[in-house]
Amino acid sequence: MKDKQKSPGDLLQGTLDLLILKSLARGSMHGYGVAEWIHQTSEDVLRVEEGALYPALHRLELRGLLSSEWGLSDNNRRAKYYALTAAGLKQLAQETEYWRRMSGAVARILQTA
Amino acid sequence: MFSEWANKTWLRLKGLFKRRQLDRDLEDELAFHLAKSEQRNLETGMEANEARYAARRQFGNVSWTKQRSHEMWTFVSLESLAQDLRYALRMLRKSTAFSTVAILTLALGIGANSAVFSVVYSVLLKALPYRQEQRLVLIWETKANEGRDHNVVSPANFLYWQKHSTAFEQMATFFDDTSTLTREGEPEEIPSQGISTNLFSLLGISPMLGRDFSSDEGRRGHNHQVLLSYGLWQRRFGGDRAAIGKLIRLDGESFLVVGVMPPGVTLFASQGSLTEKVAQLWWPYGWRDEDWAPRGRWMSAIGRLKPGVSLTQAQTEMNGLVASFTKVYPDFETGWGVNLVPVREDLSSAIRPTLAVLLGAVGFVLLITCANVSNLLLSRASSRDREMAVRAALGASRWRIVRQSLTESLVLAILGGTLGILGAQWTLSAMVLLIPKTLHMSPIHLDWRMVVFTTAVSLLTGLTFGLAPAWDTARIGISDALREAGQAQTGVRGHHIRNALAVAQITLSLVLLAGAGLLMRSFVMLSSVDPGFNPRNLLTLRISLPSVKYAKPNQYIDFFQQLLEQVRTLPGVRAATIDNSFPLTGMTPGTDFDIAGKPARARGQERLTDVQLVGSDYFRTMRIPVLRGRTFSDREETIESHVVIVSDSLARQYFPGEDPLGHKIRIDMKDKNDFSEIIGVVGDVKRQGLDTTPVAMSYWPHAELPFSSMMLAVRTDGDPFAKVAPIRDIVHRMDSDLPLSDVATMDQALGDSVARQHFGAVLVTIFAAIASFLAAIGIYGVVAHAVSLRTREFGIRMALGAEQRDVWSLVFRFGFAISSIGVALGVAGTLALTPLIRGLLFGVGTHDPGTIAGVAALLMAMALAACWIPARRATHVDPIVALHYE
Repeated sequence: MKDKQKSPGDLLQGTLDLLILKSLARGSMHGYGVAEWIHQTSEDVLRVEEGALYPALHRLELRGLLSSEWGLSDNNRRAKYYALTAAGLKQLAQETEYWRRMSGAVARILQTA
Repeated sequence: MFSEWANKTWLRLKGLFKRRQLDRDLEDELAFHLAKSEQRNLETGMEANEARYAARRQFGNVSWTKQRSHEMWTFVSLESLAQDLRYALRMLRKSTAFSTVAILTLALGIGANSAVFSVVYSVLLKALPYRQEQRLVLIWETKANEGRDHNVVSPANFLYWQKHSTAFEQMATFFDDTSTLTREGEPEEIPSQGISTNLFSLLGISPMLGRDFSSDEGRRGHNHQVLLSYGLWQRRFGGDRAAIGKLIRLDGESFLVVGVMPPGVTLFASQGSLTEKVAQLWWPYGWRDEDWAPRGRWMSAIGRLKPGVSLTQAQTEMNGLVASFTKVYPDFETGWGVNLVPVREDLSSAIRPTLAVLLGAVGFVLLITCANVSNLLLSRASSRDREMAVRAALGASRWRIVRQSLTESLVLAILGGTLGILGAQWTLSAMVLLIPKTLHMSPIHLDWRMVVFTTAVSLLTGLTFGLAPAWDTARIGISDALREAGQAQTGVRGHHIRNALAVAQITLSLVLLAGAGLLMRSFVMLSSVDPGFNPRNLLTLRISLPSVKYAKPNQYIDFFQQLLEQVRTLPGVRAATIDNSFPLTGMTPGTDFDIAGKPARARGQERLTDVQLVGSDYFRTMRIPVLRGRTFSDREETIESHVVIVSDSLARQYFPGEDPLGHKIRIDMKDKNDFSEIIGVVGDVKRQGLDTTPVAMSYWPHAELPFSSMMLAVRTDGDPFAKVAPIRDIVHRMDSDLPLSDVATMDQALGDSVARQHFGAVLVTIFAAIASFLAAIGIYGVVAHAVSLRTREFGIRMALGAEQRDVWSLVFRFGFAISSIGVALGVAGTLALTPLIRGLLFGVGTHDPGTIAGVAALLMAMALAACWIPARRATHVDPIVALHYE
């Protein structure tokens, strides 16, 4: 994906996948829910480009990290719910670990005088 | 890893077949998101409308998102290819005229190319059915002072080479003959070959049934075995395996059938052939001790080089062997040499130049085809500028637009190619009919390789001509195109390319037409050569008397005299005679001679003459003019009288400034040679072909040297073939076992003798006609397009008072400019290229001004005629309509 997202608050390349996986770790959700959860959990700092969210969901589904099924939403509309698969759970653990190491390293560099 | 890939592929496959379902799901999913978003906005207190727009704004480009997801599910390329294809077909259907012209053009170009390639492939490229054919060489004797480099070989030379040569693994001999098959139904004279027993093992071919000859079957008296060709086995023995081991009757003797060769096996060397026919059965030549002593030359020889031995090395060794042989037999061998020719080169040498020219010609046709279709597509592309621009503005990528253009070209090429295969099939069957019969080395037919070739050519062509318009389209800046497309000036960009293509087509067509004109003229010149006798209404056929039944020469003389007497009584027969070999239908025996009272010539410089044995009434039947003296009397025809009639060229060559009548010559032809008195001089006959110079010829009465196999010639009133049945009746009444063979008319034989020239001239002319037709279409297209672009201009001119005449001249001036540049370049190209076909021309120069001027004028006229329709359209422009044109 060659998205041109440079404004503050936009997501770093590759982090969108991680955030999607993390948001679904709590249980299945539809796309709108994922966007809202990220927005709220980051205390309004991170705003997911909604147009980019769905291709990312579909890509993760194709990779077998997510499964999906159609259900009814709270206001009785047909909605597509995504859930983590076993592979998705494993991927989430790996990516989280990787992210921790990366951000720790970046933080250490920034702390040096 | 694998499971992920499998999962993806599965989903994509599902995507391919459930596209609608997936699209609907995506639609629903996004709609749901927007609805939720809108609902939230409403909750924050927005107006209904504003809430909807805000939700949209926040989401961004919905169709982009859809496209991205969509691409993920599907094999994008496959699907958009299908889309491109559907679109291309729709566009082609919409413009019927354009599609028809383009597809027909391609079909012609591709069809001609495939057909010619099939022939070239099977004659020049296809592996001969021999093991490691590149090591097989034909061995010929040469005689430099007579310009002979493909002379048949004497058995003594062959045996000497076979014994002493180290360069060859093996050597073998073969010679064409005929064998009369009797007691198997209708008697028939069958073309056969006497061969050394190792011939087939040398070639690397085994019989498909039975066995090959064994080496002791190659001794005189032990050689009564035959191998059948597949065709003969099928035709005369019903393909029955029981034929093996059967005794059959050939020339009155018993032969044991030992095997059947696989289909397609031949070894035919035209230069050494006495029959000019491909053998259908083989028998072992029985060697005798006498063969070691040099006598006549009559065999063909072939050798298989040892691995690692080059042709040059072998040639050097053979030259040495000839030199040492000459020391032993100076009388026989002085002046002779040896010539090794790789078998493929030898077998295809006669047709090779013609095929090369044909390949060149169809190459030109293909170039013209590409130029034409390119031109058509370019014209169309420029009228579709606006469409392309709109598509680009709507988000089609440049690559996608190029691909669309390429797809259209490919669809055209494939349709054209498919039609072309049909056309090729037709062209090929026509070509096979025209190909001189003896040049068939293996059956020529369309096979899968040729289909692959056609497809490759059509794809390449499609890409080639698809490139120019596609490039043109991709180059357009969107805003430029949108703005420009509103005006009638867009064509300017493509003009130069299109004009150049039209000029190139005319140039190429002119070169082709000129080549065709020269070949046609040569053919006409050749056909109008006087052969020295009258070939009209002359029936010829061969009768061979088997030696078992007709042992004594007197029996031959009696048989043929009785036959002639009876044939002459048939109604509608004007005259009849016999001859040992008819003009243009076979080799004539040749030898050297002495003149009484004149010194013998040095070795290698002997006086040479061909010898004909003729029956009574020969010169009147053939209508060969008697220049001096008289013809043979009845007595001289019956009893050996030592008289001879010579040809004009013999008289001029050996009796310059003298009257040859009364001189005596001794022709070295018999066991005991006597002097014969010259009693007449007759006109020359072009025996070796219409394009040859006649050689010195001596005519003896049949009684002087009775041959058992003679040609009967019958001059008839009407259709010569009507006399075949009554003649067969006469022959069968005399001997029911005698077949008639080689039944033909002299006109046919003449036609066959110029078949190669006919083949080349006709095909190149057809190709040139196609090319010129295509060039005319090309000119038409360019001019018509220019006219349509200038419709407004013409309207204004006419509104301002221009006459129709002025508009006519405007259009024609444009057409004339293009054609004259093309013609000028074409003439230059012709002058440069025609020397390449010098060897194929006869009686006409490579730069024949009449031909070149003629085709230039013809092409010019065609080009201007092609301007006529667009010019008419231009003059009928209604100024009001023209001004409203956009």
